[in-house]
Amino acid sequence: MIIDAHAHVGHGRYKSLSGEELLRQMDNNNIDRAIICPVEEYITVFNHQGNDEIIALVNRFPNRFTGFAVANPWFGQEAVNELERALGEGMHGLKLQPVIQGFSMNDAIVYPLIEVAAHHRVPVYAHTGTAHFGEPFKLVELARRFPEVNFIMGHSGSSDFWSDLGRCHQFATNIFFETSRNGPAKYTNMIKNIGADYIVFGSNAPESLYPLELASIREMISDPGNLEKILSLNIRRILLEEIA
Amino acid sequence: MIIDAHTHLGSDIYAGASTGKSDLEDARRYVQMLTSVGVDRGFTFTMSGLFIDPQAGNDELVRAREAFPEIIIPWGTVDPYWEEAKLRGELRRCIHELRFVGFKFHPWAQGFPLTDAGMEIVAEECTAMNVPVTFHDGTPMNCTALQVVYYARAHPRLRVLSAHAGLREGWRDIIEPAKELDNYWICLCGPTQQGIQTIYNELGAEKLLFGSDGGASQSATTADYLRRIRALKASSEDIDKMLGLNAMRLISR
Repeated sequence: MIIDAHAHVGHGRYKSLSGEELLRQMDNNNIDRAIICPVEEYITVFNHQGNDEIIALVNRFPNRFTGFAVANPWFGQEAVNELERALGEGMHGLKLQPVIQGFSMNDAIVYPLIEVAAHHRVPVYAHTGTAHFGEPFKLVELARRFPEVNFIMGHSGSSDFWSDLGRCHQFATNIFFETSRNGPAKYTNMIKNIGADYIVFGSNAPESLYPLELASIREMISDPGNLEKILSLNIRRILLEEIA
Repeated sequence: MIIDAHTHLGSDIYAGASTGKSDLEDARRYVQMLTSVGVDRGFTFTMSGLFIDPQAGNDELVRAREAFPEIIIPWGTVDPYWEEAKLRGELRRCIHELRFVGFKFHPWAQGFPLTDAGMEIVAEECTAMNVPVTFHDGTPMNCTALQVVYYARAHPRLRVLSAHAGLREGWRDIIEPAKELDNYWICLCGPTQQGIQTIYNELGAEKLLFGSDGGASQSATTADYLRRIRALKASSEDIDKMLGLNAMRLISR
């Protein structure tokens, strides 16, 4: 089984991918399931519309898609309400994009949303890799404040924060590390400093191609047990087997 | 001929090596990594010279090239904070005595801003010697994509190669300036696949180079970027340009 832990669906300013096209690509590459979330302006501003599109796709293809909701913390109580609504309608997690949403992950502005995620026992995916708002240690600060929540470090700090990953893992074992935007050398670093139990495969579609991502991972992760953990078992663990 | 326009000689810092120093065994491993995946030659940059001692790093490259002259195309480095005579002297030694083809800089590893006075001397000397320079880019504070763009803009007679095309998130910044700047070249080692495709679609192939940042790690790193270039929606003629022909044009004097 292969699960893509992070893909974007929708039509935004720069990214455009329909659910049907993602399914076609998944079928062509033996991807069983993808965790999907909205794109760009639906992450920043039009959260309700973006979530509705993802909910509709999850309802149409419940055996192929799992949805992560978006809610910009700057909307305050409105964001909390939107996240509650989306989780109530079948979403299984929260996606944060602090760079384009414009907040620091260690700022209390985001705590109400994490409290909702904790209440619903769903994971939180957070983009990292961009200086300042996307700094991995900001996510570590947040994860240490909410040890009961599982976090997924989007892109694992790629590209230039790779050397921090071991220390991130050392101080926050409720963070899992997602592979998109990385490559062979970075996979070596992740295996060495984090270990296969905390790495999850993600594509960040539509900005990548499944054949290329999978080829590099398979080339670098030779142990079949570790490969299975990265491609499916770990993300199932994060989602508390709700999708199994 | 396939030329990898971004490689390093040295021990693997991703695997925990602290110095990046290289010996002939590293050079053998470097050559094996490239040739095992079908790469014929590499623009070869020092690793240790960027972190410890530029001159010693340059000398390591000379020894590697003597052992593998048909593979290794060395680019030197210097420290722009050196006093002027030493800086000019090492720049000239690298080109005139060591027969290097250009200079590689890594402003965050080497710890200098591109506006440092020493980098004006670098530009002056390299323009006079008609050799290109290349910069790690895509990383704040000292080498964002646009900081490198503006170095190229400030020195229009100097050929400037962006070593990472702005990396994962800075690549959009380079597209419009690249349309304007004849002296600005781009190594496609760093953007997402969508980014590489968009850069090609917007700019065409003429100043785009395949590169992997490999050589000091695993051959899989180089194979990965080869697959990315070959997966582009591009003509075979343009693929050939990116895989090697443009690299030869860049270093042609």
